Amino acid sequence: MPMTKEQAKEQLKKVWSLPKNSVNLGTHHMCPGCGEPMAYRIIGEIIEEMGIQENLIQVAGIGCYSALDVMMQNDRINALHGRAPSVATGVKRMLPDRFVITIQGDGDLVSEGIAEAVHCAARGENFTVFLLNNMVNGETGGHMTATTMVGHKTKSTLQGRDAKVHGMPIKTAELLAQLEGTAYSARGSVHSPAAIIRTKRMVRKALHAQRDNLGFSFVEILTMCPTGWFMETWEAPQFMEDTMTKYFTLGEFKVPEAVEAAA
Amino acid sequence: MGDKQLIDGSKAIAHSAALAGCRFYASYPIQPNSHLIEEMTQELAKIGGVTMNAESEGEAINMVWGAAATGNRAMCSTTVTGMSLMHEAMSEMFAAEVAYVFVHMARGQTEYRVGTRGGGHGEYRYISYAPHTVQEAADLTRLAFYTADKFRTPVMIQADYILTHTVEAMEFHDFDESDLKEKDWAIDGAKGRVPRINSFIRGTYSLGDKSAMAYGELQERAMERIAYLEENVPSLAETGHLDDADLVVISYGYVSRFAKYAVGLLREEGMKIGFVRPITMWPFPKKEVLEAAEKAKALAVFELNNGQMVDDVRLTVLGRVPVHFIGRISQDDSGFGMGKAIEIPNLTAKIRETYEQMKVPA
Amino acid sequence: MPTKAIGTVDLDIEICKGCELCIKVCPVNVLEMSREFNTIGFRYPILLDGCTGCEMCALICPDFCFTAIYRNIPNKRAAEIQ
Ligand SMILES: Cc1ncc(C[n+]2csc(CCOP(=O)(O)OP(=O)(O)O)c2C)c(N)n1
Ligand code: SF4
Ligand SMILES: [Mg+2]
Repeated sequence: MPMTKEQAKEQLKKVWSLPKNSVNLGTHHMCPGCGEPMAYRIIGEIIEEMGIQENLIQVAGIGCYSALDVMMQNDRINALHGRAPSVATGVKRMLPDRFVITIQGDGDLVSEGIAEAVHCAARGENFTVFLLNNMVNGETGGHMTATTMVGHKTKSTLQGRDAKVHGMPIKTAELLAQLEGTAYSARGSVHSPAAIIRTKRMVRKALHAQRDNLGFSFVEILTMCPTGWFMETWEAPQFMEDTMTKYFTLGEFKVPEAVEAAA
Repeated sequence: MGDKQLIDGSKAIAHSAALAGCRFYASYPIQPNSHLIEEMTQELAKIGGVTMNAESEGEAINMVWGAAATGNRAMCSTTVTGMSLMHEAMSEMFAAEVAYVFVHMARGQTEYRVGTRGGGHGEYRYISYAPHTVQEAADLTRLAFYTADKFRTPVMIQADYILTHTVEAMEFHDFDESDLKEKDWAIDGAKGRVPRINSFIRGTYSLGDKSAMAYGELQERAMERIAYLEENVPSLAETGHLDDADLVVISYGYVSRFAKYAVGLLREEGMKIGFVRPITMWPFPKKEVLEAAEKAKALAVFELNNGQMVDDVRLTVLGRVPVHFIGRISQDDSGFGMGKAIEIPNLTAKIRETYEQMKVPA
Repeated sequence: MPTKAIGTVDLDIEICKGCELCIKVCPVNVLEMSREFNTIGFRYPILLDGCTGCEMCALICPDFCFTAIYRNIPNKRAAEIQ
């Protein structure tokens, strides 16, 4: 005779629950199957794990995720499209003992604001940049960005991105890893539980790098945008597994020894 | 303080900023702004502040946004082209209610309109000061930091190429800021309090605050804020000989020194000419200009552009007296400085012509 | 020490947007989409018997509908997530 749920709960141990400080604000308005809230949750969970939510300033970019900020229980500045790393520079230089993070999309960071990100990395600014890469300007309705893969259909490349016309997408994590000021650079994803667990480690390492004043830390997180990709919600993770992660390979591109040893 | 010193306009602004407790400054080299960067680097280093030689104007202004949002005093500066690049952020920094000081090192006077109406998107205004001497540059810098914090809004100083490089005797004065309130809006980590948000989309508010505004409301609120500033920010102006003047010359910034000198020369010849020098370009010193319009037969506006402040003068006097524009775009061959129009023979000729035309019965 | 994993989940169906990602990741296929709609108009997952409390659904859910996981054997990942 199978147990009822209530009976089962009595005999079992609670092994996991939603973190209270980072994600307890109920519903958000992202599309069904969107990967961005998952990325936010990962970041929020590590912030909560490190106990730094009262000591952290978040600078948010402009994209769908801007509407997710209410999830996070910390001080925040809304920066203009692509300018978050510069705003974060001002904040961190004034408050070097606080944690400073930016959360930006691919349209925001790569298309509009790559110069800012590159210069911050080159200067070795001691804050952490999270790039939520879904290969589209989700918020405008699904247009091509500088990270849209060749052949990928968007509202402005209905036949698929053509390399002859639009060039090749930018691999931001690899690009920023080249710069000497970058302490940590990695690419994770939220398309599967395994990828989420690996990405969490990256987020933790990046924030530890900032805690230890090692310089610029960067985590690119691939997120699904079923709306912008013209896909069913449940097809998007499979597409990422089969196609997107083949071009945007997951992994760490630069890890400081100190962080590697501690992890 | 109190000792007379011989220094240039940039140094005066930089040292004043340091005295005001400016902690952050970011800029990108461009003439004639570059000299201020050099001075600020030295001045802020002395007090442990941060100077950023940013990689672009866009970066510089956004860095200042971040620094100022933390509740620290911050300053930004640039020249003409750079200001166009910065306007994306400058527009929204008004919406986000970021208090900071902006120094525009003009090349001529072609940015009066931008300096008072803004050059970006949306409705916003800067409180705008135009110093005409090194002494005034120092004093207005202190006032600018105070006003920015008091009204939590951007304040602009319109300096220029000549002021930057003019060396004059001046002294630094004490400045009373004791009535400023604590910054209960600073974004500095939510230790022991509800998180705060600095947002150009919804204004600055505490997390969970249901009264936080939607974008449309925020835009509408800009109207109230602009009206409030116009009413409450003291507008300053210097006037001379208004009691007997038939013609009043109106001029601002360093250029007004030439205008004042020319007026002096013509008065020695017996012409009844007075002057008004707006010190606050916005809110515009309407009281002084109206006073001039009440007594004089005509006003003449001298500025180094195609006629920008003249609009404000006309909007103030509303046809009570004729308002003549006697300025022109005038640059020197370097492209940074002011050209022939400010030379005294040219200027006196212009004023004399206007005065004499005015005397001829119609 | 029990050998067979038994678990269950707390599920807030009212915030579900019906993306079905949890259905795909459940290794023992005990989540099934409802035929009814929740108050915001989406179908939502229903937990059938046989849950092992593996947390996969909670990890993938973009709407944070899975609010707690219960299990008889503490699993390795639980330590990491906590
Ligand atoms: C200067 C400027 N240009 C364009 C826009 C319009 N815009 C708003 S969001 C957005 C796209 C954001 O894309 P991304 O950062 O990838 O975020 P996503 O919506 O994909 O999550 C754009 C182009 C803007 N807000 N500001
Ligand atoms: S458009 Fe894409 S990125 Fe934006 S909320 Fe929808 S799924 Fe997410
Ligand atoms: Mg995107």
